[in-house]
Amino acid sequence: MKNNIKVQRAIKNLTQEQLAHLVNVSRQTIMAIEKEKYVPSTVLSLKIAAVFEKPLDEIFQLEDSDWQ
Amino acid sequence: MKSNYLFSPVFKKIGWILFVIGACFMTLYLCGVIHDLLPCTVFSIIPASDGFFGKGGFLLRNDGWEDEISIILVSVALLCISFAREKDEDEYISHLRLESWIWSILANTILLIAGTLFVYGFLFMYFAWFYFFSLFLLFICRFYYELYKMRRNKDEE
Repeated sequence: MKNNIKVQRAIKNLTQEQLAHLVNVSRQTIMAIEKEKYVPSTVLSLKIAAVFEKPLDEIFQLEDSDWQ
Repeated sequence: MKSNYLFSPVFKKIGWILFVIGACFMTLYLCGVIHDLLPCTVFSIIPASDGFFGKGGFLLRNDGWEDEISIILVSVALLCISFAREKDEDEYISHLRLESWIWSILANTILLIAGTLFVYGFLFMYFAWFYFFSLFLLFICRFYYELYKMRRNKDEE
């Protein structure tokens, strides 16, 4: 699953630390999600979408490999 | 998403203290420095000399407590360390925790097979003692290595 959290953070002018604080996780978790090393839970994904005030699928996109 | 099966973070410290005491005690016992400590009558479910299905059933016998104390101390200590919540525990750390358990179960099985194939005679008893705790030890090594790798990654933005 791809995501554009880094772009969304830049739009909102948020650091990883600030976003992590808003969604109640560690900065390393945000970093792992941005690097696509970790796929967040539905709850965390919805929290991130709520912070950016965007629909979920505008931030997270499925890849072809996710369907296999 | 909170993992409610975990203990408070303070249990990590308690666990390490118990582990040091238990490991020292176990080493002294296995080296033969202490034996027949606090000998008393204990309750044995399976008679020691008659094998698993031996006659006699429940039995009272005389024994020391050093091996029981050391095994229980080290087991409780490792359980406390393994199940202590990290101060910044979140879902990514829970994910690392789960992955580390899976890895340690696989590694522990490989260790058992390797030990069975390559360790013989009296040495196998020491291997069996180590195997009592190896699942926890492997998990602790793997999990804290994963946490170390995660935390040293400082690159921002």
